[in-house]
Amino acid sequence: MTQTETATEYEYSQTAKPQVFIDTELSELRSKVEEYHERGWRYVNICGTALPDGQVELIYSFSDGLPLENLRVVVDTTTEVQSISDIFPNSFFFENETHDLFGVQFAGISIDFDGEFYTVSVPTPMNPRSSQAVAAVAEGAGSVGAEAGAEAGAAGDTKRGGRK
Amino acid sequence: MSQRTIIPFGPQHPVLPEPMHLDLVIEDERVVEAIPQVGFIHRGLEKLVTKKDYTQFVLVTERICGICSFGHSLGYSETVEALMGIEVPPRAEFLRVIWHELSRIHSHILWMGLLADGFGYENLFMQCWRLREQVLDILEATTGGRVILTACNVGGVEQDIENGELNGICQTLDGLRGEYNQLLKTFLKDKSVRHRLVGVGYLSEADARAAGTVGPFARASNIPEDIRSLGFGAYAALSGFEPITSKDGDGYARCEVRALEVLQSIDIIKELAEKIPDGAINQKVKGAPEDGSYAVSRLEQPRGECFYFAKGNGTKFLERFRIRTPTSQNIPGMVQTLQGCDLADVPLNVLTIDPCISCTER
Repeated sequence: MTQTETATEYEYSQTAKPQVFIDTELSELRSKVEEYHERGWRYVNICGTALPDGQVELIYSFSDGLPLENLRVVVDTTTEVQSISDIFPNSFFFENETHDLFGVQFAGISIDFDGEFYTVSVPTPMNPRSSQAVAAVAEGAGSVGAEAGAEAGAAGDTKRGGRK
Repeated sequence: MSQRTIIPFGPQHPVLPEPMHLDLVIEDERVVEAIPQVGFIHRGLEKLVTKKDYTQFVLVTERICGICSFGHSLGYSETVEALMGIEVPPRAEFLRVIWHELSRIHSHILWMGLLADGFGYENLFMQCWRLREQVLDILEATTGGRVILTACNVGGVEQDIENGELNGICQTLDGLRGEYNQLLKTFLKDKSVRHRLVGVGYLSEADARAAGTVGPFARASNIPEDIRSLGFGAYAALSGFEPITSKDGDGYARCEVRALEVLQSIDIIKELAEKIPDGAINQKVKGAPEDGSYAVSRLEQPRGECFYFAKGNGTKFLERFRIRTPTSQNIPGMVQTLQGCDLADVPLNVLTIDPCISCTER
């Protein structure tokens, strides 16, 4: 079943798990996040999903006990997404992770690992459809991500991790 | 003015079963700032969801963590069931919660043992792990596995537990409770234990809320949030559930909350064993999640709230599956407790949030 409803349409029950997904424009993301903060809601998660066209779908989740709402926003990996770590400090962890996995460009993260959040030998971002990965393959500088390596037939670059 | 020095802590350290690194900025043996780094054991398990179909992937989720493995298979199954609108038979719901609470007991006792080892009480460590064996024996007798149970699947559970066997489990837990109470007295009353924990790593309620902490770490700072109190699954059948909290917000409070949750879990298992209905344990699952379908689910793991997200694409392979683990929510709070503490208290402070890095990095 597809659950794309607004918060007001959903009726919370004691046993049903709330499934509220609200489509949001990137321009209004921060104001909506600030609204959750003002209402005393808790930040829960940021989840990225790589879309076939190279864009990334971000799901921001917030909760206040049983109610749980998810903001759905689709972004391009060349577009700068303003960090929410000044509103919810614990989101820095997830924004760094989402950058390394999907290539989303976050601006203003409170602790920015600058693409080296994961200390692994695989170059980041690992999303082969991200703008950075596509550019790296085009330049012949080596592949970014396993799939890109397989597709391009190029050997993967390695780099030593470590926070800058 | 004292000179500032940076001391690296981890990724290999005696109190850390899994790798995590901290850059500790210290001044006169007092921590001024701690900068965390994870990412040493990222395995890309979430990506595997595009390679294994949704019924097979439950086996991968169990291998995300070696302690809360059953919880992850349960969280995954519940998310896919929400995605596909599958109703799970009531008996399966009860069995899931019984195994999940058994996992919580062994996880908490394991942590208490590690804490005892952390403050140098080796005998207490061994007694904790000896008791934990009894729970692992129950898991082995009912599922065949001690840690990786393979008991949960999409639509229900793999094995049933006969009602007679459930009575036997309750008797074993009664015996365990007697021995556990003796250990509890040491953890909560012993002078040397209190000396190492009381007042160490204090986190106020306001700071805990601002840092977004979850689980026993949050409850020890007087935040009464526990996903079990929302009444999902068989938790709705309980006559009452009140999260265990403490107002102290220090290492001792975290120990107290977890220690008392073991007794609470025993009570939950006993109540559900009395109320468990007869009937099927599995619902046959057909088809695939619809294209563009989304579902989220939450679960109270031993370390706190765990969040699951799944997205379907019309095939048997999910488009995306995401786990947000409790440790990733608790690291910012942990960093806050480290600021201002003595260098010698850092290992114990890190331990009191019960970090699980395997889950966090997946």
